[in-house]
Amino acid sequence: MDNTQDKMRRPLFALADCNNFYVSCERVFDPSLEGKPVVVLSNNDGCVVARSNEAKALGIPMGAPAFKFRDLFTRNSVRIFSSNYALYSSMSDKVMSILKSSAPRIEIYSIDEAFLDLTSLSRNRYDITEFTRDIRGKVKQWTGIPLSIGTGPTKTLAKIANHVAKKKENLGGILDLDTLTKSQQDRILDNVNVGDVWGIGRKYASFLGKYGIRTALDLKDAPRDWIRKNLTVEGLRTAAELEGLYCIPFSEKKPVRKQLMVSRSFGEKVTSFEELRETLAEFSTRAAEKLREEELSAGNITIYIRTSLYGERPKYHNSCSVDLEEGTFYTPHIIETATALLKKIYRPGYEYKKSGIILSSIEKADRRQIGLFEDREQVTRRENLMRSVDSINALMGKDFIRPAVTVNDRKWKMKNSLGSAKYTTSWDELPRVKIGKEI
Amino acid sequence: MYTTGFPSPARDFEERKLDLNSLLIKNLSSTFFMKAEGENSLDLTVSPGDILVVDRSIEPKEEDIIVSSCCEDLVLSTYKRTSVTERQNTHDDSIWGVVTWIIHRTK
Repeated sequence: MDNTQDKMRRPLFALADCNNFYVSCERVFDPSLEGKPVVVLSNNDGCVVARSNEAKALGIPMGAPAFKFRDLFTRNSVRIFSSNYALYSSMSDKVMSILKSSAPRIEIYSIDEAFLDLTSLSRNRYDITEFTRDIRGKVKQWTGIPLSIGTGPTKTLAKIANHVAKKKENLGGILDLDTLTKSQQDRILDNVNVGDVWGIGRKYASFLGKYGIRTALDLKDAPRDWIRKNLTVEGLRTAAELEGLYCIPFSEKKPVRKQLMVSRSFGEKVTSFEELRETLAEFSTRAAEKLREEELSAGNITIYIRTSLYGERPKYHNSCSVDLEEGTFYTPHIIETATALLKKIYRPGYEYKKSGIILSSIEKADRRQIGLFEDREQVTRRENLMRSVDSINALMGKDFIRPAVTVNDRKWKMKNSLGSAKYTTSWDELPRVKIGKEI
Repeated sequence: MYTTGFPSPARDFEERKLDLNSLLIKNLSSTFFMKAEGENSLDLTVSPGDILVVDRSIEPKEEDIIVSSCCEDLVLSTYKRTSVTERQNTHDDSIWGVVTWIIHRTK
């Protein structure tokens, strides 16, 4: 590609975002869910994390605590699922690899959305609307997952185009802002709440509302000095992007992780120190695996524990943190540290509902210096041990080798009472097909 | 480092080991595994318990074995072009995918 020519080209980005992704994954393998209200609940069946359009129409809000909506669910025969992350991440891999092979460059933004950089496509040769419509059709046919694609000269505008493509059914899931006139574009921006603009969020939205900035258009037209003063330089970038000036860079590389958190609500309430220790040991194991997978080490460990936020029972929450002398990814070290921290903040007599571990001061493991007083040989031994454990687990299945403290199958473990099968990741749980008569 | 003995005469002819995935999966993003259940079919092409390799990216041709969604279930059948799909030449949404391999266990 000729670089000077590339620079002269106006940037063009698309955001491909799967519609109601978790629900759509469930629907691919269970045709009985078609056209019915469906919700997916978070870990331990706590809150609604995904809704089908039919469920949205019933007024079930995102994040709704399931217990508050139980009656509404029953009255409307809402189909309810626990999160099936094994399924969702394997479907996400399929969708992302199709996007990767279809667009010049992609930036995976989350499990169900990716930015596509279409700048290098010659607009004389490609009808961009048709191009994105083809990608959408391919993903739908190959994986069964419906998605929407919005296109614009900046990532912020691509997000907005996507938002509109999703809402307006007559668009068929595709909107290219470039094909519209300036006044049509402004009309679209005027219909988007400022809180729905990428990077603004609900917190700023109520603040902006007080100054009469209610829509994306208001923000685009607001005086730049005022924005800089009240929304910092980030807000300024967003406003410029709304105007069509490319500011937020496209990046194919994953952003460097600043922290790593593993936390979960318990299936049942936990009171004893022993059980809390087990939960934290389990989360430490997961966090350490993740660190090693990304070749990182952590220099700070924080844990927290808390009781339920609801109900009459006595409430308690606390957290505790420690800086390590040397960065680590060694599972036993992280478990020991978490246990020591728990000793400091554990109080008997409470019904604990949730615990978590947060690893921070994260560095690339290979950049880590071996400390003056560290035993070089021990470091290598530990590294080799962890590498062996990880490769055996990769071969034999998750948790084939695991720390003794996490072995108990206690009641706090994730309740997946309503989980669907691991359709794509387990030979024992493949989708069933009925042999028809005429075959 | 020492080398001892004769090098294997086959050394220059080594190729990669056979991998069933490369045979069974043409398009990883659009391929799924499923399991057949129900009665034995008359022509015995598919038996209950067989693993099916299903590719969603392929347009079915006459007499292909396909998976389709029917009455809230996934069902196996042979594909017959209807006059409607023929005329419009469109993808029928009830077709889930085309069966490309049937893996049958004998013991």
